[in-house]
Amino acid sequence: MTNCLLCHNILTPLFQFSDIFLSRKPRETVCRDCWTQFDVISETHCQICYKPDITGTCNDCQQVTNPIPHRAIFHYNEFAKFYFQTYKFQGDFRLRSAFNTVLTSSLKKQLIVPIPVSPERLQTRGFNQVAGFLSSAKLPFLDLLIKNEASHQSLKTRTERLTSDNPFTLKDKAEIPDKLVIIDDIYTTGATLRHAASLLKNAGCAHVSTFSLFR
Amino acid sequence: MNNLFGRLLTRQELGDDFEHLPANTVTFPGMTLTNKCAICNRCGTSSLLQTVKLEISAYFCPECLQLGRIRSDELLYHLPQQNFSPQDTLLWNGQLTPYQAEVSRALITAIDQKSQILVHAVTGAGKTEMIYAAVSKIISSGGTVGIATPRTDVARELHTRLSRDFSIPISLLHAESEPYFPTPLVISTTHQLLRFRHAFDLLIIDEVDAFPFADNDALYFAAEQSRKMTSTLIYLTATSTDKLDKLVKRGQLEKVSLSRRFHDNPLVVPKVIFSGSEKLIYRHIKKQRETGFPLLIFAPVITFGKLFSEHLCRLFPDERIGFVASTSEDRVDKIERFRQGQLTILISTTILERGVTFPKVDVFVVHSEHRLFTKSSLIQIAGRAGRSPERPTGLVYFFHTGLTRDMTRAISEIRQMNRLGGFT
Repeated sequence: MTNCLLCHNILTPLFQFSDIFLSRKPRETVCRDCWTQFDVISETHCQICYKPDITGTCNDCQQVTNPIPHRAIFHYNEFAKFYFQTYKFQGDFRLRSAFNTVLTSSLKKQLIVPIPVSPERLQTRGFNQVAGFLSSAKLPFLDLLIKNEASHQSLKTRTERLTSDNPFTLKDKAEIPDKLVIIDDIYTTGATLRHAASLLKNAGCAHVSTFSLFR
Repeated sequence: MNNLFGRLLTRQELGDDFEHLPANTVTFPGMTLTNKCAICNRCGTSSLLQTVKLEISAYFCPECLQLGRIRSDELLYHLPQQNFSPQDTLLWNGQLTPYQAEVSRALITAIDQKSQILVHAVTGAGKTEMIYAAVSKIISSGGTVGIATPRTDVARELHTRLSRDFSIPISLLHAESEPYFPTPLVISTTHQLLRFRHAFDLLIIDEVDAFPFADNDALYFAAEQSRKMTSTLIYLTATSTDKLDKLVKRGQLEKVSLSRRFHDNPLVVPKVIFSGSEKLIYRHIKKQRETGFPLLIFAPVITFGKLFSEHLCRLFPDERIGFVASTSEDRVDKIERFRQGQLTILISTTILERGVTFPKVDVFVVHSEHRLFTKSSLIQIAGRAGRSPERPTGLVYFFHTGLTRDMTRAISEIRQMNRLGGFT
């Protein structure tokens, strides 16, 4: 008997015939009631940055030359806020397995670079939330970037975030592949992902795209 | 710094105090590691290593996470408890019934012997007044008293009553409370006991049968850790739990019973009614409404309760109907309006099962076979009826689609308490 990761109610898994046949373990870790509270982004979103409720391309993206294509799965709603409160700030590392199936189906066979956390934060939090998602979903990833300690993104205003210096550097002797996707947990202004993307582009990666679970 | 005496705190909880810790501060590692498990030194929970490993080489405790994460590579800090200056603090000068006085005397004896005692008192017996003499005795000898309960609502209610009846400031601790301050009398939720160590000369745990205390080993561990090595422990409950019964049988725990309500009338025995369709329930509601007494209906889950109250609103347009659950923000307001008669029917989830009194109320339980309606929950629910001297009886109906063990055990325990109280 397992319990839902988020509400701790008893989880009744949906078995498919093949699961029983191949004696596969149930893959869900979150119950349906909780899962439906995560709000999936609909078809109408900006073609480039996934901003919700935009047909075509949003104003911000139209002004940028060579914008980086982004993908996201969920709206960053109140329920998601609550989720990250428990996962990142309370530090319940068990919650990393909530998005296993979503991540494997949307990131299959791609070269993944997660956004790193600074060594100081890795020590205080004990984990990198993005790498946690990936390793829990058994997705291999490339650890190419280093984050230099700076004040926390969520303490900054929008303009501060958009104008701040690039907080990332490349690891020594990093081999840059031709095509990769950079992933983060939440996309707010996109500054973090853009900094990481421009660094990798300048280092010679021709096709960089970005991905976040929440937007 | 004063706040560290008798407490067990993390580095984060210490804040600025960390810079000037006295030399006699005791420190413990956050967790003890064995070959397979990591055992939390705050809540005693043992977790398999691979499930609680962080990315760095450290482990965390998932059980007591809400109080701030405990990590195997961090320390816990503690200073031995200090005595307070002895003082006479009891303001209350009411009269106990002979039955209450008997229990009160048993508690004083337990204090003298520094033993553990279980008070099994029926709903509506007047438990709070019975502990006053014991509490006052400890404080007047310079000791510290802790009163803990699983429910925040009950803790708040106790704090209001004891602040009126005792002359000292009382520290109230729950998830959203003000910070702790040193005082000989602390009222808290059972979770907050995890932040105390060897602090109390007398620890009273009220409503031991309530979730989440009843089946939670971490909270029993907290209760043991928070009191001094030689101290008194009093459990208060309206329904005994299997765990406590076992201790009583083994002779490790003394038990006193109080089977009479303060108004000297028996408990209302619930009636079970099989109701395959909801039509039957509506018929009973219609009949009950003719009496004019307020009606409290318990539903197992929020979604069903909401639906059921919508049905009732359609079927009984003349009644004023309210619905409360843990998620409703106006719950205090609705409860008050029901108490004053502005609402005639109140539908509730189990949140109203204990600690509330509605005079002259009738109680219906819909889908009483649901697993959330445990024996203790059903006894508490039945105990809502017949609490006032003006109407010491009432209706208690369990509408079910199949009898459960919890239902039959609840009813036989109520009957047994009535027999013990001298009613046949």
